[in-house]
Amino acid sequence: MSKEKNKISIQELLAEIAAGSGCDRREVDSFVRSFVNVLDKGIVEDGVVKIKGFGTLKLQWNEPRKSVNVRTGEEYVIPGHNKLVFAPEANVKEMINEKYAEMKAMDVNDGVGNDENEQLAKLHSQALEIKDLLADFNKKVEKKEDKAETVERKEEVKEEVSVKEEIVATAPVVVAEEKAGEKEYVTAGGNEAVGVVAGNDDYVAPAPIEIYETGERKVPLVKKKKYSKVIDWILIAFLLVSLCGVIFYIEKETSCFSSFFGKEYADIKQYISEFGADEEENKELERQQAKERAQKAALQAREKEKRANAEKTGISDSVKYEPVEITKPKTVEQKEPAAENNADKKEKAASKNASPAKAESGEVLATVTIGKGDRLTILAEKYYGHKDYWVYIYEANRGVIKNPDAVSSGMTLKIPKLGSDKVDVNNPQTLTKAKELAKQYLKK
Amino acid sequence: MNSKKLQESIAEDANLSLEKVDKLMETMVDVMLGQLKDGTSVSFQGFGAFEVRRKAQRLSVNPLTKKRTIIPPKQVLVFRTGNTYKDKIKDLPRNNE
Repeated sequence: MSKEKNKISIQELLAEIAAGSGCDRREVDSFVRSFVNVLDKGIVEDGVVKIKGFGTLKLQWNEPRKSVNVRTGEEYVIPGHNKLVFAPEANVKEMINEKYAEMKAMDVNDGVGNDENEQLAKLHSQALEIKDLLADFNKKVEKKEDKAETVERKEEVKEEVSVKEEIVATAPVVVAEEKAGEKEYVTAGGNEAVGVVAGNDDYVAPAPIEIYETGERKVPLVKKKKYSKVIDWILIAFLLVSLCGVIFYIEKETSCFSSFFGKEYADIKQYISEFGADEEENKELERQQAKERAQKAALQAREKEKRANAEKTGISDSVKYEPVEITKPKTVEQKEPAAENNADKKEKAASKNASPAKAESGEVLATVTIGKGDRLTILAEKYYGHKDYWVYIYEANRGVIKNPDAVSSGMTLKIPKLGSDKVDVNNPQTLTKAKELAKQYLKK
Repeated sequence: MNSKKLQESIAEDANLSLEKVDKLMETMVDVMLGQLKDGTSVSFQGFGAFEVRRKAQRLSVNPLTKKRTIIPPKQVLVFRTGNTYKDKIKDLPRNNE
């Protein structure tokens, strides 16, 4: 201690006491002497002396213990001995500690901060990975889009030619009907691709419609080439859809983050914005626009198809609609027996559960979450009055408890309500029955 | 030994009235506490000394949450048993409490 210890001599103390109490100096002297004597006597006789308003002096027994002589390495036993300990009263403690009373325990942040930094670093690396993945995806898609563009331009030229030819050559109507389904695909896919490439859609968009108007009289020659294009477009469409799915998934993920962590979510956002989220946003916008266009085109295509269908004979319509009407009731019928089956199963299961416990399984006295150190026997004693009744708790919770000897903490158990024929501390028969059951279960 | 018994014993030993002993006790505790508060130690020869020790501030870690906490410095009142008295009580028979 840096501070020099002040000492008060016994004379000074006596003087102060005399002044404080107004007693004779001699009286004080004899008082202090006898005070020490009595303390000594009390400690020797009782082992404890309580001084009111000050504290307690107490004898404490220290058990004998082994020790080693540091120099020689010899082991020796420190014999058991008494020690005098002093415990000040609470108010005395406070009074002595007045100087530091205002200071309170404070949490240190840097210790926790390290953990936070680690977490942030993890999130950062995750964000980078996601970005890399996205970048890869975008590259692939861009390549495909380029191809699609070139293919389409060729197609446009061909179509223009074919339109001219078609007017001259009247193709069979059957071909057009067959193609109706495919065309929908083609236009939908085509428009999507165009939308993504963007920009010149004013020029490109009308082209598919033109195909439609003239499509019914198309020459079979175009068909073969179209098949490969169709496959290409389907692939592109699939890629786009999967990309959108990934983006939505990531968004969902991050929103999950927000609900779970909040703060970390903000951090992630920050990271993303730092690493060029702007570009991604622009791309997303483009994609959304493309989608909208695609949807519009698809709608138009459907309308066209409907018209085409309507142009067909009315009989086919009636034929088409009838099966729909028939299938509906079928599904309903299928569902109902399934529901019945489920109900049967449930009932069976319930009866199975009930049979070992013989009813009463429905009624639950309480549900308990197992804490540290809890056992079935303890629960049984608490709820039924005797530990041997644990078997009934086990019976009621067989789905949860695998081994009745090892109930791990965190399990939620149902405590079944049992009649007096099973649980009655005053009836020794119930006890023996429970014990027999316990033997059975433990053998298993 | 409780406080009442202590006072009775002292009164008997020092040939003083109980009231006086009571008063003297009170003033003595007051004076001692006053001295101790200022950092002065009060010692009784052949018995021991009451003194105030300063406990430095320290870091404590909650073993469950791993949260670190600064425990501020504090002053505590301790009793330092005198060497002669230590030897005296050392070989007393074990107390059956």
